[in-house]
Amino acid sequence: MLESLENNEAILLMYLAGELPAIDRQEVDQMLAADAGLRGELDRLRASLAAVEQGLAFLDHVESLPSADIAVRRIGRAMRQQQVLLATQASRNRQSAGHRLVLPFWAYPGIAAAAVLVAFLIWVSNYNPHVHNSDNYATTVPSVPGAYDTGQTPDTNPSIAPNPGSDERANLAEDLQNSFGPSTESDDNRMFALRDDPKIAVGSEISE
Amino acid sequence: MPLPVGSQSILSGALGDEVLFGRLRDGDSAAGDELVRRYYEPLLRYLQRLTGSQAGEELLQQTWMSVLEHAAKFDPNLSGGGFKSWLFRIATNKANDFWRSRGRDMHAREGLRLVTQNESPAADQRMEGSEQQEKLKWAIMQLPESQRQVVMLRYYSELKFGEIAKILGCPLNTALGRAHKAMIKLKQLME
Repeated sequence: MLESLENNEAILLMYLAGELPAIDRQEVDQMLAADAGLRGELDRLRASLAAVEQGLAFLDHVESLPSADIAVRRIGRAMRQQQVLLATQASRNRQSAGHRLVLPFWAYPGIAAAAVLVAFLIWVSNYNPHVHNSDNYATTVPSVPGAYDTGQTPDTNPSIAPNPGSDERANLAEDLQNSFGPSTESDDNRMFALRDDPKIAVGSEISE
Repeated sequence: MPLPVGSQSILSGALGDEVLFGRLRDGDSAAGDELVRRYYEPLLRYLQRLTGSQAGEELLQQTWMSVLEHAAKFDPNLSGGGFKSWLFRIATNKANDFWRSRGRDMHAREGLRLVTQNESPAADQRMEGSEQQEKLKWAIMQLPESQRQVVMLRYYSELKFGEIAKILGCPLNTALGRAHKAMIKLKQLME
């Protein structure tokens, strides 16, 4: 232990306190026997320690404390109240924990994976490459529901783009076909339905 | 045949701190009373010397409340020094909190005023007790807080310096250095 003490003051203090192992104490005894300066330092430290202890003992003697019985009763009462409070809080915590659904740790990644799978399946079921349009030929549903039911026309409402004429619609069908390959009969039927549906303005935008 | 609760106090003096604390943790309030009584004087004196004020009793109660609050965390196997070391650690923390709340600068100004006077407190500042008593109290408050903690902790808890160093969160050599300086300075101030 002596090696860990960095100076003579620390060694002498531990020596005076009686906290050195026996073997270290013997070594310090030898050091003291051989070094008068070290002995003087020990005597000064011993005198300081004695003065401090004497002073504190004097203070403790002249300064009376409140009655221990009264203090113990007061603190004991406060501690009992504290114990009841802590027990009540612990009981509440246990009750709330019981009402909470606690899942095992592996459930959360599983739930997340299931949610992703469901979302993917929904997307796949709704995905139809033949309905997909390029930006130039967007088939838009009016953002304002029933906008075309109001009887508004580009003439009365400049925000409504004019409906492309039938020629343009035919061009649209051709372009779509070129973009996405030959259409099937069902595709054709669907396209004709879109073409003829007055509610859908191809390429039109309704400004908001 | 178990003894009635009240009569256990007769035997409590023979029971160790850890045994009493274990009973307190299990709800035995009589064990708590015994522990409070056992440490009443050293703990109160320690807090009074640290803070230099009349807040010692309030801090004492706060210490025991904190003991109850953190009872589940105390493990005698892990806590070097046992229950006493843990108790004085809590008390030291309460004293530190007191310093923080009251403002260290306020006390530093008070200490500076006394130091610049270069004399012990004037006769008109005596409250109770002798001049020597006031001089001793003044000398203690002249110590830096870190040095005062080591000396008071050593004197009132009688813990080893290694345990004191753990309580104060510093290396053993640091604690020893503080104690050495504190004792030399106190002796000079007391003379």
